[in-house]
Amino acid sequence: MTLLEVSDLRVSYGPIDAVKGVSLSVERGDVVAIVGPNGAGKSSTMLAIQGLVRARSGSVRWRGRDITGWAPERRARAGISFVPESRGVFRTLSIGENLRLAGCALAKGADVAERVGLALRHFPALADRLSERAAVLSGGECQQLAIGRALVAAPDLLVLDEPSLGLAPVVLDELFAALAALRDEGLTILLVEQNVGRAVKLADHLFSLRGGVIERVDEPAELLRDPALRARHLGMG
Amino acid sequence: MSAVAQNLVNALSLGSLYALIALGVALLFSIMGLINFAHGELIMIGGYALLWFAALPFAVTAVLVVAVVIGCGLAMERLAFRSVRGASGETLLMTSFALSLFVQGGALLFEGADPKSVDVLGSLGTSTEVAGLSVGRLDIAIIGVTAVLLAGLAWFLRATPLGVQMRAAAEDFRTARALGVRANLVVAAAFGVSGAFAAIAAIFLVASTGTLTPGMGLRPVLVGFVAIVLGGLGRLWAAALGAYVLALLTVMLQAYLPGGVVPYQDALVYLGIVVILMFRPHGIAGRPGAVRV
Amino acid sequence: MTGPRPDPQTPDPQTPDPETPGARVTGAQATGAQATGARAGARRSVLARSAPAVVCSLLVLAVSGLALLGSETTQRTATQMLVMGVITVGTYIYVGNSGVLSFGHVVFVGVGAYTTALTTLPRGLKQALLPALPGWLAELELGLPAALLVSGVLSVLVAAVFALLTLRLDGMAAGIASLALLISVNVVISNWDAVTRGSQGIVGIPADLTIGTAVPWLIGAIVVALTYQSSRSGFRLRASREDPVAAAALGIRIRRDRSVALVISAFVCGVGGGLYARFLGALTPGDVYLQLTLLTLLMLIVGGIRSLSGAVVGTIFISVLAELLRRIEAGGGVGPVEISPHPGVQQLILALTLLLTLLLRPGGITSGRELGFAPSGWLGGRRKGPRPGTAVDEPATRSDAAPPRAGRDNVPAAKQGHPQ
Repeated sequence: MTLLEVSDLRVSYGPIDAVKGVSLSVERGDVVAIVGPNGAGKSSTMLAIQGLVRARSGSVRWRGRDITGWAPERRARAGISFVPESRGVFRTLSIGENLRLAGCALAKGADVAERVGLALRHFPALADRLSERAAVLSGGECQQLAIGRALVAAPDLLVLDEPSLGLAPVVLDELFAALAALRDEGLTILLVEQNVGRAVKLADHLFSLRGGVIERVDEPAELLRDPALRARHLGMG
Repeated sequence: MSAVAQNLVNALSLGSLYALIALGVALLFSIMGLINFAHGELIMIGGYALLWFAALPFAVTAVLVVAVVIGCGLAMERLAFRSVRGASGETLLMTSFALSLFVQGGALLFEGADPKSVDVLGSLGTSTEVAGLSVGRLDIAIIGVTAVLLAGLAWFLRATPLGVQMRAAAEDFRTARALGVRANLVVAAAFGVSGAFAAIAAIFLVASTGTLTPGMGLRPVLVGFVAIVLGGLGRLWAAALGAYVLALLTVMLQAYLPGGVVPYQDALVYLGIVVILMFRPHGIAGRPGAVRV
Repeated sequence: MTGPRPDPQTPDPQTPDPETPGARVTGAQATGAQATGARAGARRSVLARSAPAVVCSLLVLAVSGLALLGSETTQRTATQMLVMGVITVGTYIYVGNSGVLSFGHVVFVGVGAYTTALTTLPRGLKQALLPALPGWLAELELGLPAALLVSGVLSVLVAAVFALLTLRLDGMAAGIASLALLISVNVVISNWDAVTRGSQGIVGIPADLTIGTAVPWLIGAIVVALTYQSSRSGFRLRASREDPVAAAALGIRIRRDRSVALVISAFVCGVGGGLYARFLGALTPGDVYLQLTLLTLLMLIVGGIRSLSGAVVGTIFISVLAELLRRIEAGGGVGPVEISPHPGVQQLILALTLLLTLLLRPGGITSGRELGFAPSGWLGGRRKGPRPGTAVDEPATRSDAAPPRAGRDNVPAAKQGHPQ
């Protein structure tokens, strides 16, 4: 079943076209990764999917319904959970408040505490620190909190914008192990990533985005080996 | 000694009134970046509403006044501010300026330009002896009610899901929305709380001055601006603190300034604001890009 | 103030491309090259450049001429319109070009108004009204042009202080600081009995301003505004208005250009204030306070804050509207001005006009364009290209790595908006 279908999406900032007709679809249970250099339009694509920037044209469909004009909160309630670039952790809220906040995307009457408990199973380190301010967390812990928070909303699709940004290699190992565990539980994931190696290992399907144009990478593993292919998709030698 | 204590009590009472006003303004600013001139008109409406319902028992009057002002605040949000939500701060400022003058025009039209007098809480007009000081009963009421309201707001923001959502929205509205926080709900809640505070400020303001004019909202709202600038733009509790500091300054200036300078007291206060902004564009306690609330 | 909302605009004759500073700079060089090129081309360029001033002046002359045919009340209204025009154009020079909101320009108007009042009040009356005035000032009695010049210069001095205090500020901080200054100055004016007679105000100022004597000053103000706008400094300032980051990257020192604009702006506002005093005949602190601030901003925003033509068109539009409202208030009678059974109607409708403009047409009537000759200008020109409703008004320097900041209408739920 196709969860998310993006067709010919265009995003512009003033006269600058950031995304020039991106199409992709995400099936239930898939892990889809978009790789590409800085300024390729990756984040803009993610923001448009979450409704945080307006698409100039094209459409975003969710479970067959056109959600291009939906507000971000409505998308969140429909089951798209977002982990923003640079985490978007609320520093003035406690860790527990951050987690419970995402409960507002759940249906009325849902047991938020239970969902928080489930999310914390993935990140047990946070469980003892619920009353601490999120401002005290390190980069890696913030990322755990951001993903955990997204899980509280019981997502059908987890959207991650550059999760590896600014994290140390050791922390990256933990992060991608957690994501792999979520994948193995059957969670559908869409992420954009600059770290091609990590993305290739995690994803079922890989796309490259360059200059606002998307292209499917048929042989992800080849990308790591073949410099010519890498140059074509990622603009690096 | 007792003169100083007397001044401190006056400052505490005045500061409580200022804090109610400042929090109403600061709440909207922290959540949607709006400097709401029309907050003064909410206070003005509250004042006239006291007159409309004056015949009823005071408790009923108070509830009706709060309801009317909250209703007006929500209407302002729905009819004017929702269309410019997310626009630049200047546009929001201009919109609230226009709205403020619009409501004032309405008051001029329907209530006339001449001051009206109304007697509210007249029974609190007497003083009582507290620790050797003569303290007005009204002052005690203002200080007490404000303390309860501040505590209530703090509880609401800490302990209720909506309060937590409001705090999240104040820090980063966009991310909050992406997590499912309903923008309209949070903004409406902010206008509601702001309106309730404006109504209660109006009751105390009118109880101490006794007069109503269509332009009566200007001074209080300016006081609110000054307080939030003093405290730091966007920081809720700093704004309340700023209100108390401003009241202390005002009372002390009034008490100790040489007679010839007293008329210029306001000029000094506002000039002080400009100087503060010059050195600290984000307020005394504010930092550029600082997290808020 | 900057564009309230993403408002894609067609290029106007001065700014080749309002969206991209880079293109704008290229445009500047192109204009320079043009000037040194073929003489015909140069002439056309000069003509095109001065077109807004010519068209605005013609518009002012036409409206004034029409008013001359009307009753005495109509003529008085037209005179007031011309005075307001000077003040509005003066305010535009700073606010329009820099994009920084100012509630404080009425301070300059006030300084000008009181200066002209004090320097043109008949000697005997002045000594009777203000016995505490210093001797030299009590003796002083200037002609109108000299008084207006002095008014302008004094306003510039006040502007220097103003600049010192507020030039660092942007956006809301600038708005609040300028408002605080307006209030401070008003408190001083209201209490400085020896010089301003406090809230009683100064009476007996020769109220001899007519359409004929006011028109040249407004045309002068328009020419000054356009000259500044077409100058290098004005050009740089407007570049910084569109995109401060890119402008700074191109080496534009915003503060210096803002100072230049503020000085010119204050001078024109000071002159306007002097004219205002001579129009009113009696001056109280309330005359140069919030009502006048509202009126000026109303004219600017309704007309279109981003163009000189907007200031002029807004002045005319609002003046006519205000006069109509005054007549409705007064029940259609001609009687003395400002006496009406319903004192709120005018303010109500004027504020509503401002509100609706902000909500529905944030660019104002002219939407940032200048009046000019067809086909390059607005009169004959059409909107070029479709309105790209999806364009977001973000600095062009954005990259993927730095997604646009929250807010604006760049959200699908644009109608619901979205605070930042």
